[in-house]
Amino acid sequence: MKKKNKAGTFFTPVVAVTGIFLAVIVFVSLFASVIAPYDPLATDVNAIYAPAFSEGHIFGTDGLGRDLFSRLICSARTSILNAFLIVAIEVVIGVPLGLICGYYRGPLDSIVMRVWDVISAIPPLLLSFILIAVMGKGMMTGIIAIGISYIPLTTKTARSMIMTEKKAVYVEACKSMGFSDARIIFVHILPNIITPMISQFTLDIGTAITSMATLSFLGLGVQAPNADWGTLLRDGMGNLYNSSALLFIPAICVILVTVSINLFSDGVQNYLDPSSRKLPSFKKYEKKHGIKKLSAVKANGEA
Amino acid sequence: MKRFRFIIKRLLSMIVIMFLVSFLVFVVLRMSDADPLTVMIGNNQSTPELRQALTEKYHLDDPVHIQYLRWIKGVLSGDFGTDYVDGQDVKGLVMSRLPITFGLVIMSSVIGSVIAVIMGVAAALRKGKPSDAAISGLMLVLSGAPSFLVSILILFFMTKYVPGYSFIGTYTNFGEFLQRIMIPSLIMALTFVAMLGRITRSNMINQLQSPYIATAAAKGLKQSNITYKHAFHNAVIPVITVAGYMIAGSIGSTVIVEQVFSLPGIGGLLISAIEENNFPIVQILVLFMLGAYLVMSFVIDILYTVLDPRVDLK
Repeated sequence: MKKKNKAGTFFTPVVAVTGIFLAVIVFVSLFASVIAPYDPLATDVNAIYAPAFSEGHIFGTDGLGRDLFSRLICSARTSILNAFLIVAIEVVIGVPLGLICGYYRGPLDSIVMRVWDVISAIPPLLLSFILIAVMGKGMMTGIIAIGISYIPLTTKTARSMIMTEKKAVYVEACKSMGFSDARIIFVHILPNIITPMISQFTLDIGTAITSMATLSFLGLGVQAPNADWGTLLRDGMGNLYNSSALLFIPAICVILVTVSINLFSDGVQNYLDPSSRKLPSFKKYEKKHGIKKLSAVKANGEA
Repeated sequence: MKRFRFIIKRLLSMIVIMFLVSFLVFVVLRMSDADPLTVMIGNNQSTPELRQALTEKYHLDDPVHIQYLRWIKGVLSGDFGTDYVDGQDVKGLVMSRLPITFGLVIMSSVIGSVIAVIMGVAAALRKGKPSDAAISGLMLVLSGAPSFLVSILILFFMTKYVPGYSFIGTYTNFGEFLQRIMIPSLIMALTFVAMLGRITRSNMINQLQSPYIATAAAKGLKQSNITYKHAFHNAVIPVITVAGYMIAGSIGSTVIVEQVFSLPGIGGLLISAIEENNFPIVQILVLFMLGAYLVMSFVIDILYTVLDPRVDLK
């Protein structure tokens, strides 16, 4: 059971808080080079393993005297950018492929679906390992590997949606007016089916961040001197006994961001899915006429 | 008959996938930049004689498909070849690492599934109450927190506040083995709790709201009977499916806890083999993990049709 978004507004308290938090994170990571008090790669032999909240280094420093706060926000940029790239791969390849397969069916559809069946038969982490084994470790490989593991589901969703959508009357109308297939698919059908997929994409950004961090943590993703959150966690793990803040602070940061994204995409889902929300106008009507149960009846009827 | 045809079809597609993936991995590994000879020679002095001898020993001059056929023939007869870096027998290397991985998978899935079902049912029965909100909230946080993060946080607290409890490294007897895998399995179990618990809860709520429950209540059945005999049986079928897929998938994801707790399992072996370009180990482990996953999901599909007769076989 999805929670009902009673107000019918997008900005429920949860969405507002997580949204602001995520916006701040994105803002900070965009302007990381301006905000960072130190160069994230600058070493300082006089401040090795400075504890958190010490003079000049709010989160302390690592074994080379690099400022953790600067490293954290600069690697935020890498992590978030990578996550967006992963989702971009998924959207740019998965959605059009699904649309074309679902619209035309035929041999192309069977081939693509068989290939995706094989790919989705492999667990995502194992698929990343296979691709990294084949293409060599590194940031780009990691992005491509994770991106590929997300494509099958997107393709299948887009495909199943266009298969019901192409029977709609407006598609027939478009055809009778002689519009090209490309125009029908991408101008007329796409806007109708992309909305329900958006909450899936927001959710995928969250999983993409953790998947990429996992690869980097295992030493297969982002390579030094570049860093993302996974690299920071790997470093923190190695220096556990010297300074616990090095592990603790990035860990909390990743948990906060991923949980926020989950809650935020839940909010997006609830807002975009009209069946799970009560419209404000409806609420006003109830208030005006002193009816209490109407919305409940209506909601049950629709469900 | 229908089931028999279904099984044959699934078995065939499984075999095809395994051959296809193993062939692709084999071929593309050999197309990568890494040169097996460089890997094998390592820090030794590279002489033309040595290169010649190694090329002949590993048949590196043969065309790729011949090499693949030789390799897969060996694998099917139980000979996994020798690795590139130390020249060790790959089979022995893999076998010595299997207990940890299997131990982790079995222990975590049993503990995780049991806790998940109990918590999910408890939450469903208290739907809308604070205790339900607490359990659901916990599951949401757990599902958001990646398991490697939870592992390192727990490792951090254990080393700091529970001195003398060692759970890192190798083992010599069964007691020590259990001690090594206990904490990591509990951490892996958290993923099960987060995922399965939520599914159990929503399924259970759905079942409790369906008309046949009202019928059962109208017939005057005891509430405990309705909950545990009627609703629970229907609610748990999809849970078993998802649990099966998660168990199958966790064969690959043990690598994370293995790395964090430096346990000698096959995940760590795979990571180091990838980093060293140690092709024979990479090939066999990819094939093994994939095979384990496919066999597991095959078993689940069969089991599903047995548990739920309404499922249509295609």
